[in-house]
Formats: sequence, structure tokens, C-alpha cells
Amino acid sequence: MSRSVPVVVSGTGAVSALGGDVESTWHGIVDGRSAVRHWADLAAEGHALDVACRVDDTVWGEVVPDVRVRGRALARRAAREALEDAGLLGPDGRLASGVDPARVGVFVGTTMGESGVYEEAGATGGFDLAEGGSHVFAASVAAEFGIIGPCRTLGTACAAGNYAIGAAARAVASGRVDIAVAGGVEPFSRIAMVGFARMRAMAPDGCAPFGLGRRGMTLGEGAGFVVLQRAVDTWAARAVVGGLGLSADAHHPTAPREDGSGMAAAMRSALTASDLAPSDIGWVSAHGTGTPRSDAAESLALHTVFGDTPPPVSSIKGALGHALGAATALEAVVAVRSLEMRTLVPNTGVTEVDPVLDVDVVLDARAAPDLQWVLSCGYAFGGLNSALVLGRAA
Amino acid sequence: MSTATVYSWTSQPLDAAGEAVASWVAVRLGGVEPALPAGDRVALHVATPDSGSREALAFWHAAQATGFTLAAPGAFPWTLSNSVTGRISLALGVTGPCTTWVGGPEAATEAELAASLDLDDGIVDHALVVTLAGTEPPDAEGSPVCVELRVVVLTAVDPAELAPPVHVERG
Amino acid sequence: MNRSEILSVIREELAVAAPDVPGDADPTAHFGLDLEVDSLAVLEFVARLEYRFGLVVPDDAWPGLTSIDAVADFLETAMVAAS
Repeated sequence: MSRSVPVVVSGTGAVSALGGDVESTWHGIVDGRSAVRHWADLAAEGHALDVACRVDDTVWGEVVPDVRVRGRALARRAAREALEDAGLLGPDGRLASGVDPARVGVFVGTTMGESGVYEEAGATGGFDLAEGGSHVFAASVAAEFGIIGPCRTLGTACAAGNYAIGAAARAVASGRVDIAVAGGVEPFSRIAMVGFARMRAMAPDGCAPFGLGRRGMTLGEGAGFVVLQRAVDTWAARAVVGGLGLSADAHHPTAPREDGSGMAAAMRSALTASDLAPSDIGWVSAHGTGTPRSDAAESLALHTVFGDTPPPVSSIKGALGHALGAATALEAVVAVRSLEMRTLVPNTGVTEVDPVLDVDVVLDARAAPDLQWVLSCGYAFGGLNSALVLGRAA
Repeated sequence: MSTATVYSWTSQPLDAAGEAVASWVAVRLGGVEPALPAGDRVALHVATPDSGSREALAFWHAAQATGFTLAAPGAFPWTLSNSVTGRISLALGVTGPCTTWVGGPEAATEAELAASLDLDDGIVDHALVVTLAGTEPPDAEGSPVCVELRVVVLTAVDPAELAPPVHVERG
Repeated sequence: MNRSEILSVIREELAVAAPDVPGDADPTAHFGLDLEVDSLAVLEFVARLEYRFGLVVPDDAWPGLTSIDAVADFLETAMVAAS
């Protein structure tokens, strides 16, 4: 979507397997740390693999949320940080006076919804969609802060955060809302743990995006949120929101087109919508799941769009795991910080890049003083492709 | 400005485990004549309160019965609400923007709004707005369900060429 | 269980996971290249066999499971090892 009304990110919030806020997540990633570890409870429950990235209980303090409301707790925590960061909360923790709650919207992406409700359904003897459905995260954020504007949920799986941010930016730019809280939420899903493990899509010892000998993904969890406003309405711009490019492979329920053509189409669409040339992009925050075929397809797509020498590339999934619906939202938060700090984060989990891919994978944090534009990519089951442009604030 | 053509169906009970619902949807939409628009100048917006929910419950129920290490994976992709959207795009050959909106009536409203904006912004020439919902709420085992399917085909037109909407019902 | 019985179970589960494959398909035919069995269907097929035979195919054996005969060879060996 070409946008004549500039939209900016005025606040960011995150909860990830590396920490309960943006700062700890950012520093963990920059320092090259990984949240990948073995989990005794998963092994005891009989999972084929017990390797995952999960939000540590210490993040919550004394009261760890019940599994049936874990996603809502993640959502509220990350959204709170983003709204506080944007200066939009009052002393009571709700929207500040002077902010019209009807002019604030919530747009949230997710994959599995409140997975714990599904997982407990057999034990409790019943299932309530009103408690487990994907819509509960946006509704919870709206209720927490007294937001009564549009409240929408994108179920676009591993690309959902990008979709939510794009939809939110559109709503802000058009004047439908003045403020949008946009992000992605995914509580740890045991259903997904079983599903991906039995699809042989998971690495036994942690994912290695773009790495030689990579064997698959590592499941993660978390929540990432950005607050979007029209540039003229805020002093607090952290980054500029460019265009969102979307495409579909129409190829296979789970496997991407091997030539990456669908991914390339989304990237090109994002560049066009942002009035940018490929040479304007200083860093690609990749989908980079660590699965052999997906990383290969993504590398081909990068060459298709950017030619022989694509920009430097990092995936944060080696650090945070694949947080499914929260992944691209967390990646957007990290991309915003990268633009502010003029720093490219490392592609954690890899010591040797697969030479066949022929991409410049950032192995250690790298200074990027001229970084102006970032392309953040996410590709979902079903062949739905997304690429979001974010830029340095003036 | 756009024209709108509407199609709707209600299924017999469908097995919620796996791709049965997605396949039924794909067959219905793939059989529309004249064929629904395809390609990269077509947007697809799917709105659903529960797509994937029964599949997730059925998958989890089965996984607990077999044990996690021996769970059958084929049904897992269909536990995602997004999978029916991908299945539709595959069946029709839609390679433009495809989106899944999850929720009640507000999701359907948003899907129509987003589709209209896609047309107004010139991103696409056609938009398919699909709404999909079970006639009964999901239960703990993900039992079979009848599904209501509706698709609105929006086509960008020159205002001078507007015609009244056409409603075609299928059983 | 002899090889004939193993093959019978294999064909039974293949019919469920990949209904388009003929019941008398060439046992040496490659699942993907010759029989056009989708990758997801292969995963489902092998998983169903794992459940039937009470074993898990290790990752290093997975790439070799390319035909009915190859699967039968693996299961025969695995069952001998387990007995």
C-alpha cells in the first residue's frame, strides 16, 4: 500500500524467551545469546523433542499465568510496555486522559490462539472458543487499556505480526484511528510442538538459520507490539513504517516454492509500496527458520530481488526460537531498535554459513552507521508471504 | 468502485480432523462458473471465527491417544486458521495478497473493508471475500461439523459501467 | 511377522495416507518421483507405520524410505533388531 501519510512507530514492547521487555530481548540478541535449551517438563510429558525457547517464569514475578491465559498475559505485558514507551498511558495504567479510546485500534496476529485452552479441553471436558480462539489476545489488550476502537485479529501464522502492523498502519494513515497497537502473540503451544516434531521439521539441538547442516526449526513463544501513529501526531518516533508487501505461493500446504518466487514477489511489492529501490535496503531481517528448504528458498528470493550481492541478512530465530504468530512482531521490534542503534544483530546459532546459499549472514553484531531502511520478512504455512519495510526516523 | 457477486453453500457434516473442511471449500470455490478470478491481481480475504479450531482439538485428542512420539502429523497443518486460506489460494491460483481475519462479525466486516481498500488502492483488480464458519461451536474432541461458506467476488469497475449485484445460491 | 505381512500393512497405510496410489503400485517405485506422493502424505504414511509397528524411524534412516520395498526392508530389519 503506497502511503502518502507518514506513519511512525512511537513505542515498542516485547516479551521473549530472552527477557520480559525490549531491552533484555535486544541485549540478549546483540550479545549473541540463545534461549534454546532442553526442557525437562517436555521430556516428561513424552514429547519427541524437548528443545525449545520459552519465556522464563522469573519474568512474571510471583504469579506465573495459568497455561489457559498465558497468551493473554504475554499480550498485555508487551502492549503495556509499548503504550508506556509511546507515552500514552496515564497514572492508572489505562489510556491517558486526552486520548480518545474510540480512536485507538488493536491489531494482533497469532497462529494457534490460546493454545493452553485447546490443550486442556480434554481434561476439563469442554472447549470454549470464547476463551481459546485467536481473537482473545486483541480483546484482552483492548479491555486492559480501555480501548474501544477497532479490535482485529490476523490468523496469518508465521507472518501474522507483519500483517497486523500493515493493517494497523493502513488504519492510522487513513484516519480511521489515531493510534494503533499492533503486534503478534504466541504462547508456547504443545500442539505445535507435537505437530512440527512429527513433521520432522525441528532441529534436535536448536535451529541454525542459513547454517551448514541445518536441520530444522526450534519452537518459541512471546509477544511483540508496536504503537503506530501519524508522524504529525507524535514527538516519539522510533522508526518510520514503510509498505507491507504480500503474496501467495499457491503451491503447497506447507512447503514454499523452491525457487523463492513467492517470497521475492512479497519483497518487491514492499519495496514498490515504499517507493524504494533494492539498493536502499541496508539489512534484511530474515524469516530464517533453519529448515533446509525454507532457508534455501529464501536465499534464492534474496538473489532474485537484490541481485548477486544481497544486503546483510540475520535471523533472530536462533536466539528466540520461532515464535510463530509473534515472530514477525518481535522481528519488527528488533528492527526498530536496529535502526535506532545503527546495529545489525547477529544470526545466532550458526558457526558456519551454508556456502551454497551465498548470502552475507551477520554472525556478530555489526555497526551500520548508514542504515536507513530494513526489510523484515515472514513466510507462513499455506504459502502466504510478507515483507515489511521499516525506516530510520528523521 | 466495484461490482459484487455472491455465492453461498452449507455443507453436510465434515470430519474436522485434517483437511476435509479445507478440501470441501476448495472444491466448492473451484467449481464456480465462470471461474473465480486468479493470479497476482487478485486479493483473498478469509474471515472465520473457528477455522482450524476443530482440527486442532481433533489433532490434540488423537496425539494424546497415540502418544506424542507416535502422533500422525498429516492433520497438523490444518490446525492453523490460515491453512484454509492457503488451500483456497492453491485451488484457485490466487497469488496476490491473501489474509485470514479471525473473529465474529467484526472479522467479516474487516475482510470486506480490507478488500475494498485493496481495490481502491489499485493493488488488485479483484478481491474474494470468503466467510467460513461451523454451524455449531467446536467441542473438546473436534467433532464433525456442517460449515457455512460464503464468497463475495468484488471486481473493480469504472463507475460508468456499474451493474446491480448478482446473488447466486448453491445448496 | 513375515515380509508379506509387512507389505500388506504398508499398502494398507499407504492407501490411507495417499489414496491416489494404486493398490498394486510397483514396490520399487519412488514415492515422490514415480508415484507422485506428496511430502506431507509421506510423513503421514511413515507416522502411521511407526504407530502400527511401535517404533520411531530415526532421522538418519528417513532419507532412505523412498519406496514400498525400502520401507519394508527397514521394518524387517527394525523388527529383527527389536526381537
